[in-house]
Amino acid sequence: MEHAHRTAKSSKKGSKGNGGGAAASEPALGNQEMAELLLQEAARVEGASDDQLWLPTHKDELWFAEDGDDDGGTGTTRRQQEAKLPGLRPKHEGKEYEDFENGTAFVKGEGDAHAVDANDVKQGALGDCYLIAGMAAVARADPKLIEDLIKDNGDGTFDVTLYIRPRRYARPEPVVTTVDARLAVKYSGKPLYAGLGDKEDGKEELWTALIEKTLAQQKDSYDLISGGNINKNGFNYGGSSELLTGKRENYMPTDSMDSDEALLWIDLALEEGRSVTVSSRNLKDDEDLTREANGRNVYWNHAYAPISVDLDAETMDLQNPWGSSHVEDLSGDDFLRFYRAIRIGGGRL
Amino acid sequence: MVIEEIEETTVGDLDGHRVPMGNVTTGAYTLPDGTERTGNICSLVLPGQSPGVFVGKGSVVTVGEHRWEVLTVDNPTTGNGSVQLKRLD
Repeated sequence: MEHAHRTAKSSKKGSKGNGGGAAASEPALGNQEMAELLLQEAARVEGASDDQLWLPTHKDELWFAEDGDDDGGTGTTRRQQEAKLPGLRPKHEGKEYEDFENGTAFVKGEGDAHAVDANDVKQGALGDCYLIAGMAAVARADPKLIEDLIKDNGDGTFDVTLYIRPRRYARPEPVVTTVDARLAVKYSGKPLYAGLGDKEDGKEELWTALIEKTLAQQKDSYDLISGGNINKNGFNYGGSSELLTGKRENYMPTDSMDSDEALLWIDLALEEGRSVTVSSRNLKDDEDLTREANGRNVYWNHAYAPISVDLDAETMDLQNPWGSSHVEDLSGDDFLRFYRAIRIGGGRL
Repeated sequence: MVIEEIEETTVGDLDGHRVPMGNVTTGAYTLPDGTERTGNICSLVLPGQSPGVFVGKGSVVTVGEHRWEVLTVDNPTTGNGSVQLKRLD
């Protein structure tokens, strides 16, 4: 016998849209109200054969979804963030958001010591290398600092904390933003901006994309978090490490250092479990130097997260936030030629 | 016709392959027929190849199963440059 089985269930899964934002907000009915409505409906269709229709004749026959159990018996209600989704870059108009239903904040990859690992980061089609490199640096310093930033609400949304200065010269304060797992996608279906991390048992790691989206949410737009725009619209940016740890970071220009000093500063910061990022110069008008630097995976106007320093060999390895094309065995002298600043921020200490 | 744009120091997507773009500068490059040209060039990091190769307008690169022709390399006086590629087959 086929029944038209009506319940109080509704599905909000699999949604797509570009900036639609707010969660579906139908007026909520209490169980008693719903029971009365269904009994009224049963009375209205009286006369239909049982083969055509099943409706309850008594409220005790009704099964109602409880909060948190509204998804076909899987035990979860999938919700969407209330805030409007951040705008995409103008050149990406027409791209859509897609709900990464299998997304979870953290997945421990093979060989990783922690679920949060510096190798989880992958920059996408957005010039926010400063942020992605910062995430890698903080993850390397102390994975728990990243884990503490994201609370999985278990309903498709995440509470993400960033430390934001309320005024230019103020201490950063924690600001919690609720975001969902909808991310802008490319035609290939992969995230347009920060990529996914590890995968395991069908679960996809979202933490970098969630943090990036949260910052974009703060500024209403992904375009406004690209490198040249982060300080626009009254946003008081104090560095990616500060944003992620709440601790202010030291900006150290390399022009006043010798190579030993640069190597030692980075080595000491890594050893102390502090986040470290470095910024390359902008010398792209110099063809020979650009060819030389790009040939070493050093790209101008780009941020990197130092991985390690070999003080004996006087070299260092740097992580490229792209997730590939890392810099290996860069001498201290070349570091000074190619890089303009070191930023040392919070970490385990 | 499929045309993709990648911005300087970001990672583009060519048929699902992640392709980072390095920097834009001005210099010499070689077309598929061996002709030497001078103009705006940029480095592209193709899958399985690192570091990147320098390309200019008219260059052709292979990514996965497809060949892509460089339509333009934009080198603005301020801000990031970009490259546009057209899928050939």
